[in-house]
Amino acid sequence: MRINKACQRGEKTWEKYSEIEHNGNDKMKPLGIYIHVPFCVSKCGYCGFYSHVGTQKDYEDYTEKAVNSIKQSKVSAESFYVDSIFFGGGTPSLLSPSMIERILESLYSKFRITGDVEITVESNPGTLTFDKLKCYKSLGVNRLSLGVQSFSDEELKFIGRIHNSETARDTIGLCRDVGFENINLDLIFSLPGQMLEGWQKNLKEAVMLEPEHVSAYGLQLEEGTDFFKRFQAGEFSETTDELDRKMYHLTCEYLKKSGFNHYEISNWAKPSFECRHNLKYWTFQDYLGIGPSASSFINGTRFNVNENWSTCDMHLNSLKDSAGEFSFTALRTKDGIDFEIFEKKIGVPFWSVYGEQREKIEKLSGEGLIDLDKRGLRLTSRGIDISNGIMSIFV
Amino acid sequence: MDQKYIRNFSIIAHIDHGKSTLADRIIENTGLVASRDMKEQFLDNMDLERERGITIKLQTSRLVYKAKDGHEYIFNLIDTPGHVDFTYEVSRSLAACEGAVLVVDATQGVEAQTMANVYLALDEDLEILPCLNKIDLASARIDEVKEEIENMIGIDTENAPLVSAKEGIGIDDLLEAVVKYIPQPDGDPDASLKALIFDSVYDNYRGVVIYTRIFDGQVKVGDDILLMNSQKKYEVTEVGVMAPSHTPTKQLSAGDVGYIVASIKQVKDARVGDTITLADNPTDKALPGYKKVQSMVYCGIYPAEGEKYEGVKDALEKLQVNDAAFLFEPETSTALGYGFRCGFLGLLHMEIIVERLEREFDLGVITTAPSVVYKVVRNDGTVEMIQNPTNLPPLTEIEHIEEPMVKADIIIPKEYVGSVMEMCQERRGTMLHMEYIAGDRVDLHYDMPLNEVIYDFFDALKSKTRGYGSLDYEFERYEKSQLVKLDVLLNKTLVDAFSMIVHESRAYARGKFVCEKLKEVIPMHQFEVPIQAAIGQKIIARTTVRAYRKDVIAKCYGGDISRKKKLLEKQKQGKKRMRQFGKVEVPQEAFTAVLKYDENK
Repeated sequence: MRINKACQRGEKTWEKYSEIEHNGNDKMKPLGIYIHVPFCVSKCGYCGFYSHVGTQKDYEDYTEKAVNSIKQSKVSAESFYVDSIFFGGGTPSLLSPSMIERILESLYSKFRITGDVEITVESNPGTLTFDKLKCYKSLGVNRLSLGVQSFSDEELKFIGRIHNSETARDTIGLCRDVGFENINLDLIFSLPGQMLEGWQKNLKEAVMLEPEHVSAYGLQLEEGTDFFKRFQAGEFSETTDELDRKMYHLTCEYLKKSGFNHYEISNWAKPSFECRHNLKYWTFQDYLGIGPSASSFINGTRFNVNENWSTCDMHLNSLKDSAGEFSFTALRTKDGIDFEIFEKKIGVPFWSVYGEQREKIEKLSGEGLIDLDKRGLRLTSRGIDISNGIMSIFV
Repeated sequence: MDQKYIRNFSIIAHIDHGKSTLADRIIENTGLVASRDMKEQFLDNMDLERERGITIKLQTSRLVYKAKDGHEYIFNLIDTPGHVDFTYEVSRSLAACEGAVLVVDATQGVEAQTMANVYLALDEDLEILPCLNKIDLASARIDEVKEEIENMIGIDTENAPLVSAKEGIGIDDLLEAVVKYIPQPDGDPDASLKALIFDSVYDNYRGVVIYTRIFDGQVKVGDDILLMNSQKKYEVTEVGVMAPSHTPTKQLSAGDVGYIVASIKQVKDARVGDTITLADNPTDKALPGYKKVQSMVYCGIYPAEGEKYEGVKDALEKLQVNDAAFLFEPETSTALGYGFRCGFLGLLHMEIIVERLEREFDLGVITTAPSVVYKVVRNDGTVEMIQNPTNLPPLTEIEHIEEPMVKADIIIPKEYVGSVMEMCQERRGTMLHMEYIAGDRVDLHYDMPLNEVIYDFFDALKSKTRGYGSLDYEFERYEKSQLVKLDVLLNKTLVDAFSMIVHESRAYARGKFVCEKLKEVIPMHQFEVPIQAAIGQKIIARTTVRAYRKDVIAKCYGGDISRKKKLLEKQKQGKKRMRQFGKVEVPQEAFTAVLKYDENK
């Protein structure tokens, strides 16, 4: 059986590809690879990602197609080295280790992959077993992102998760047992009916499990989701802005106190555990998306993969596109817009693009919504609350 | 061309009764335009017209019809604008004809504008040829509608062609009827020139192109013409016919309909209704019916955020060149800065101009509440005409204010009489009389303040009668009235652009409505925004836009930056349409939103 083979081979499987380090070649750029696995055991009511329930046969077909599209990718292996691979979804942990292996294998044979590559698999508690985890580890997976969402069974049931809090705790323990040292927990706040105390309890529980990374998202009612329909039907009401912000600020405070670095609007990490892959989205770096609904950004061109696995929405960024995207994504990060990096990446000085907006930007600074200095500008805590309005200045 | 073989006629109808489609069929059947080149509704030239299904600018076509008697006839089909705002233009177009085809929708029957148009045609002594349209529809009630026409208009419908413009049924009968019943022109080609301007358009290369009907005499290139009302003289550089594009001819003579180009710089120099004659051999009497049109409705037009004053000014000038009924002059508003006070024939005319500014000139503009022209009599007896509420003198200096009254003619199905009467009463209307007409419908005649008609009356009528109600109105007189100025304060600051003059009895309801509407359209700010309506120092209504605390997207979908960017772009577009008043941002729609009829309120 393939699984066993993969497990037996152990971590040395990819050794021969690991010689290349980041600094090996000045002309090469780092690349992140996102593999979208669109399967779930069941669809959660709030989820707006592309995913559906699949059969074993679907998983096989999917793996086949993923391998093919990696092989056929026009992204040049000469221009990029890969330093992050992210299996997202969906529930990628539904794929058997041998499927993950085949996909990784195709990546390794197509691209140059660094020795310290970050390989993340998103998973839901309840889809992981000791054996599976062991196999993942032996394949080089070194980061796990667990969709815990809540530690309240009532809440978990309401949002349609397949696991309960007990399973969540067990799964984390299991991951530790196997030896994973970089674990993220996904949490959701502003669930309908959730009180500040309830959220605080969830946070505490999460911190007690000592994850290296926490992502906390406010619930967004996405059009087309089951939740949205239920909301429209008046089944529940949206959490008020006031409470939502209280929860968010509580999160910032509590995680900071617990030793986490708030490095992106919704992400916190223990020092040096920032997610390399996610940062690519916010720092204007290249990434290649494989699988239906995955997005790519390669050499200034954005494109997507549609549900039939064809490339679509190809768009070559103009200077204005790039300046806008650089700025609004950077604003999501702790470091914000760094004028020097802006000029290096975009090719023109920041103020030559946003001279006309200077007055507005200075006004925001005066209102305490952004920090503005010679080096760059960043959102303040108050600025984050209304960040859309601020970001829209730059697009 | 022997006048015996010329027929000059218009098609008149109520909106939606199928005038434009019928015109299309006539054009098609006379072989002027090949079927494949037909656009839907050939005569409606502007996109806006086709979209709204109304005719704003006239289109006139010269058609050739081979009749059953073996002769070829020239049909000059003169289109008429299809809205009550353009009554004067309609009357001048009709004056250029000998007859009119009256189109009545066989499923709807006679409507308010049918009547209004018939009266106009009768005023011009036209032969009216009734014609029933949409006879292919199952709901057509031919006999009933014929009876309505006979009873209400008093014309014989025995020979009325039954057509379906959409299906092309009965078009030949109609064309034969035009030959048979519409009189030929009988002008004197040897008399001195007497011609009517029934429309004019501005052409970038040739200047003003006059559309004219020659009653007597002849005109040709090189002639010096005199416009009798404006007393201006020009040398003719081109004459021709509309076939349908401009086709130059040697001359135009009695009975003809065509165009004249004479290096005229602005349409207001060649006003609709004026009489053209030869400078060296003038006719002794101008044609009757010339009027300088009066603007009935005024509003402020201001450049939107980021839009240049000069750009708006240029566009308004260009529009005016083509539209003699549209007036504008500079004005300033504390809230909106530099802009223009503009005068229109009516609310539709105003909407059209604003839409054209946005579409044809790609300009963002803000329009303030439309206002009628009030006659303000001061204590010292001096009289002032006020069309901008902001210019109303202090109450202490006013002896009294008079407002324009109109005679409104409303035709509705019987079952809506109750609710429409209630609505008219609410809007200070006094019923003059009412008549039952065939087909279970009622014709209500009201005496009403124009001020009540321009706000939302038409929308309200349509809404209350499920679209079946029709309205026509006409200015009657000025009348003394208890009017007050209603101000709106945002965040405790008066925004002059929202000020309006209303009747005392309606001020409270209006104030409440405006506050509620503004609450709906003004987005949440980082602070509470009180919205108040006030008369003088007295606050009569208040709402509050509560403060928001959050505007953030937590999650980004797996590197799908484009999606997030689109959201931000949308937000930015929204901001662009915002106007800053002090610390408060107001979307431009706010200015029209406060005027729109709302069923629930």
